[in-house]
Amino acid sequence: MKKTLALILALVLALSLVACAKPEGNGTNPPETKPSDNTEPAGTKPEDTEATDPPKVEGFTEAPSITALGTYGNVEDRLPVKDDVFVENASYLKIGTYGGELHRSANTGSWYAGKPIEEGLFRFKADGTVEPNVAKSWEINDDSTVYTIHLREGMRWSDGEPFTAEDCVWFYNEVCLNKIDSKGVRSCHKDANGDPAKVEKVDDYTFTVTFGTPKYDFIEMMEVDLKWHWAAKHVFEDMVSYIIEANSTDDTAKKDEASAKALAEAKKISGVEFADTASAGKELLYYFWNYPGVPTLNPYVLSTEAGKNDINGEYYEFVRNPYYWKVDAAGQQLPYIDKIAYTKIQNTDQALMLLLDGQEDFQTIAIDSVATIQESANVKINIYEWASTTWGDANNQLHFNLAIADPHLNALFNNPDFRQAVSICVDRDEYARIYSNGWQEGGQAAPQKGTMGYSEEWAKQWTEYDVAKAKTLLEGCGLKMGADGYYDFADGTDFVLNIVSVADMGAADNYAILKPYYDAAGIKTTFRDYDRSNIDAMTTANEVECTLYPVTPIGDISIVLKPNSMVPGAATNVVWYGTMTKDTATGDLKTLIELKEKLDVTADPDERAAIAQQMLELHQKNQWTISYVEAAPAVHAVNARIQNFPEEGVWSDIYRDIGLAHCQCWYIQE
Amino acid sequence: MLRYIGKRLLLFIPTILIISFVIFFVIQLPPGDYVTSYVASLSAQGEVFTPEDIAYLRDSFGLDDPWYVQYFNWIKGIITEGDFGYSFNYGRSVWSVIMDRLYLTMGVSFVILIFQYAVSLPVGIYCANHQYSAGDYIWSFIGFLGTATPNFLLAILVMFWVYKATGQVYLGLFSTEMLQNGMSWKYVPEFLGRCLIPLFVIGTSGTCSIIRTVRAQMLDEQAKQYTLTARAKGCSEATITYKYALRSALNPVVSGMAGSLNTIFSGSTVSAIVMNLQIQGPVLLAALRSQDMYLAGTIVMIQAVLVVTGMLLSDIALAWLDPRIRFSERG
Repeated sequence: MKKTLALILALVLALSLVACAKPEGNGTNPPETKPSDNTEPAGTKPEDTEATDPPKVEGFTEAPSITALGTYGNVEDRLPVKDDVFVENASYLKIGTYGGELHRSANTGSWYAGKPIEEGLFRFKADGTVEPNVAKSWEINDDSTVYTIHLREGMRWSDGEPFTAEDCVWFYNEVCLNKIDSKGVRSCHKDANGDPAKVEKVDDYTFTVTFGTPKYDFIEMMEVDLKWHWAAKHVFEDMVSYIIEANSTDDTAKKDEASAKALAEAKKISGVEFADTASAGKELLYYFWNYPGVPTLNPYVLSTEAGKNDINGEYYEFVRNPYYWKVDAAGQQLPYIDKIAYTKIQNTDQALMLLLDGQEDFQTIAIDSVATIQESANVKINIYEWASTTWGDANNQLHFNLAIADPHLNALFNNPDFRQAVSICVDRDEYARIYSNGWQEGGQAAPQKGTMGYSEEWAKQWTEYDVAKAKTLLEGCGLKMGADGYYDFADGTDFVLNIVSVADMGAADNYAILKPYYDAAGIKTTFRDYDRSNIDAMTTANEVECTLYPVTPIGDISIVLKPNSMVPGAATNVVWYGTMTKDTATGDLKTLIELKEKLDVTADPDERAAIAQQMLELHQKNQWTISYVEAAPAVHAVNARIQNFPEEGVWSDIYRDIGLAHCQCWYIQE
Repeated sequence: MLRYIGKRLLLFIPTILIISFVIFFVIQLPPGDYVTSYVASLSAQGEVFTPEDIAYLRDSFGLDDPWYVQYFNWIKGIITEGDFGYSFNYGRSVWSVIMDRLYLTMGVSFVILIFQYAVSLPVGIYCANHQYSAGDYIWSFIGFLGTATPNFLLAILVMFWVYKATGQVYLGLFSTEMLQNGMSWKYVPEFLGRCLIPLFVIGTSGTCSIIRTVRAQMLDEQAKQYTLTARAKGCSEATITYKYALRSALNPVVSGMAGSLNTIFSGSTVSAIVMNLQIQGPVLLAALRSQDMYLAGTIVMIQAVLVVTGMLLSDIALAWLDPRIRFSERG
């Protein structure tokens, strides 16, 4: 125990200072059970959120803490009408008891606090399909141009005001179309020509989304791109109209006057003085959960009490929404736990210390912290392993910038033989053992078992250790062995692979282990750490040659739902395709982009699946990025007093990371 | 003396202006700007940004102007309106961010400063007066160890020992309970307990170096002729030590105090991060890393002002302490 605690403390030290260290070799014995053996297929095992029988809930009850306040009236009046109440009745859920606090620690609010409590119009299940959430149901017309969304009758905002189709329609027409929330119209709302959809109210609980051309994936993409489709009109109407007024006039005096009014409104709503209308709109309408006084539909809302309501402060808490619209199978209004209390920390190792001491209830941890928890925790902590979705271990992904300007490097990086040589020149068994202290095995940047596109052949592609073959391949790429034992370009100039990485992520240590392999294969390399933002800036400027631990790792739950890291041009900070566009891409890369475009205008589900398959085959054939280690699972450490945490799940941004755990269903049993 | 102080005060203005210019220049030197770091940190949490989003952000943060224009506007705001600008990270005025932590930082740093001098002066004198005694060796050993051990490492060790002894993880000055319920008298004992670790950790490194300085100076002074003369004249050892030798020995200690004002304002940084102290140092580090320029610029500028002020004050104190300086000033 002493040793492990010392280790944690040492980690705190290391992280506080410079790049943190991955365990370097010959450390502890490999664990007896290998967590990464958990190959629970992501996307094939439904989480069973749908009832086999329609839920039968008779009466509704509320938390004693709400009753005690005596100000909220009957629970039935706060919930939607009986048939429209959302019943959480997945088979793994036990009927819980009310009360208690969930303790967490964070060095930032924002998504970390927002994702676990986020409610979307629909919600993903672990198998990648979508189910109703805030929306009760939806219909799609024959040519997929009109989507009719039905809401839950009688549903209310967290301030008690009715939530209706008007909030959804107003949000789109005023906030999105005028780009008040800084994001504007998301791609889920754009048709094949890039034109924005029309959103119209049918009645209080129905609205339609109409596209100019057929849109086949609005429901899923809505959940990926936008998630919520509303803002509280009764609160924001004035503020937004002042911002629109300020933005639409050139008269400086009028502009200033309207801006001042908008900022005064923003202050009235949230108590925060914003510097300008753009940030007021962005913060209150996009990052809305971070501000006190903004009504939401989430199970928890930020406290409005001073000292507890500033997500940049030392302490803040999210308290239960008395108007939350979900109940358990026994009719108890959720959530069970009264509040989520956040204390500020400076880095994640401090969170681990708090977890060990029972001062924190839940944290997603690095896989090598499992042993520490097992040996040193003062309290009982359960470990749950969820499937993650990156292709291979993100820390060990090597991305070559295939759009690099230098013609020598460009030709080399775009040559599959070169990538194969760099892949097979490393002894993965040895490397993975040293890198992960035996927790992970060697692997390749390929979809994980159970996710779309998985094949064993791909998972093992280019993983055999063969230095001689690597050298032959390099020579086949036109490189010539120089007098210094390293390969040169055919014209005699030095070939150097300049690898960069994100500082503090441990890649410097990984490189130290990798370098001797590269040296042995005659590949001269350099390594340098940069701050994450610098790598982003360098990627945008097309200056990165190669990254180990890229800012955006390749791989996600599905190439259809979230192609960002897998199809050139889909995002901004992916190193392997960097600044590449359809016009500059060639060969298979161009085909990949064209297939994605074809996918966007294809209706038939089978055809869509076939196109996605072709896209994945191109990836397999080319292996544009490589990884040396298999992906680690997402490991959640949960204090044993927390009940109803699902044992299986998939960690993915589009599932809102911990989203599948549905924290409103957690309860505390000491 | 007054003329001297006046001259120094006049020099103050160009010095601070030049420093602020250099600060601003250096802060914007790394590639990228606040938007790149903002986008990077949110991308790390899964948010996706399009190039249009990024251009929009840059425009709304006013980062499209060249840095010297931004600098000029910032300085203009400070001089004409006393407005130090806006912290991108916190989304509010720089001044309010600084004020948030000012009292706690000053409180913690001031107590540490008092601790340092209260411990180190007597120990330094003791060691000099009992040179090569067991006490001297023990204190010298501790002194060397304290000087050579980085604070953050000491912080980790102390936190570990405290955890071993009490089974409690002490992170930060306030427990969750205190933060939830607000401070009241019943928490004072725990709060003071929580202050001990930072006090000891941050206090010792300064303490140790002052002990070494005082000891060396005192030994020097005791070998000088005026001390021998005083002793020959039959002055008591206490008079020799405290009236004569100590006064001369304090010279470098007082010069060293020039930096204390700044230390009180910003507190420590790395140790504060390790111990999760919510003081100014970590805010500055975060601001510098994310290129939150007005916040970082303001903090560093205040530090510069305090260093310059500290120099002035220590010069005045020296003149008061050491007649030789006074006389040479009179010429």
